[in-house]
Amino acid sequence: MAVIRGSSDRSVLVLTSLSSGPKHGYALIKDIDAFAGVTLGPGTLYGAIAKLEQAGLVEALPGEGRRKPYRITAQGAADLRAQLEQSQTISTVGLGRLAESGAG
Amino acid sequence: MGAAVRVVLASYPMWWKERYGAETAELTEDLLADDSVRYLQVLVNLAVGSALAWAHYRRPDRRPQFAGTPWGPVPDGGHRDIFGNRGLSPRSLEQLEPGETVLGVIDGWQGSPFLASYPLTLLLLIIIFSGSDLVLHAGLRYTTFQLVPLVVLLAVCLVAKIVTSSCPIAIAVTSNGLAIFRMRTFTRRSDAIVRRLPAAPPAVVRTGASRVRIDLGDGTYWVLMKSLPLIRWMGGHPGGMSEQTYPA
Repeated sequence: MAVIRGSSDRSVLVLTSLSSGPKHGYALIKDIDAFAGVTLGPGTLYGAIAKLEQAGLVEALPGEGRRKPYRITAQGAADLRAQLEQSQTISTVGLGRLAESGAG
Repeated sequence: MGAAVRVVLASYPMWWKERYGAETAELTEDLLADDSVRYLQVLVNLAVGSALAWAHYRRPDRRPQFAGTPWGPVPDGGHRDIFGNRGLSPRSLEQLEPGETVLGVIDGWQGSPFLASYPLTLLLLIIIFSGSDLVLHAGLRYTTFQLVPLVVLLAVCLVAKIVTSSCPIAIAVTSNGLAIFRMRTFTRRSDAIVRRLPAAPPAVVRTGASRVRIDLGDGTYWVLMKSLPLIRWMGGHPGGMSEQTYPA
């Protein structure tokens, strides 16, 4: 089963956020809110992190106190790149067709 | 953090709480301290997360996995039972050697489990017979005819248990190699404490349908296994560990 399903998938949002460097939960939520306008809650965030960690796409780093930062793995970066490139292709085709038909 | 949030956090699966519980609680406190986030919003999100954790997310695989580190077996004494099977003398968890750590444990049974379980069964029978006698014949004394055979059988089985060294054991891989521990030294089901196991040379441990043959330097040992994780672990051995029935 694919861990990443679409560009709006929480997994993609988490991986995109981690692609700029390791972050802990609170920093992830704030970053995702800033670049995607999506506010994740603690339950859904750690659901996404659990999936990604079990798939080997992110890994936990030793943290201070109860906060544990996560970073994207090489596999995670490759999967994210593939997903974003696919999304980009679909976006380009979709926008082009809308422009051609005048519907957009 | 309110009581409702604590209740919802407690509703997560145990493996989740062990792995993500502290982080989730920390993040929840951070979010609740943030004026832009509503308490109810966080509460509902945690409840959804709990439902998803129960429904969809896999428990991390705790079955033994091969880490690729070769290890050597550490025989800890041995004996031959009345059936000619060789057994290992189990040690207690307190008898770890200096610097030795337990990497993984798989439950098992050494010797003849039916002999080991007989005393307990007979003890149960004695209690049942005793109880039924008291119920059906209230006021009658428990006769010597009823009691003596059971006590003799119990004594015989207890002796047989000792002679055959039948006992529940835990096969553990420690940092020094293979070791056999008395099961009662572990407080939880051994399946639950299986952690990463290093690679085992195929010649050292082989699995049968219900018994495991352990080929150590000083002989071959047979151990009855009850644990499916071990069978799966053996099946996944990169060295192509072969299954065999008992006796080989």
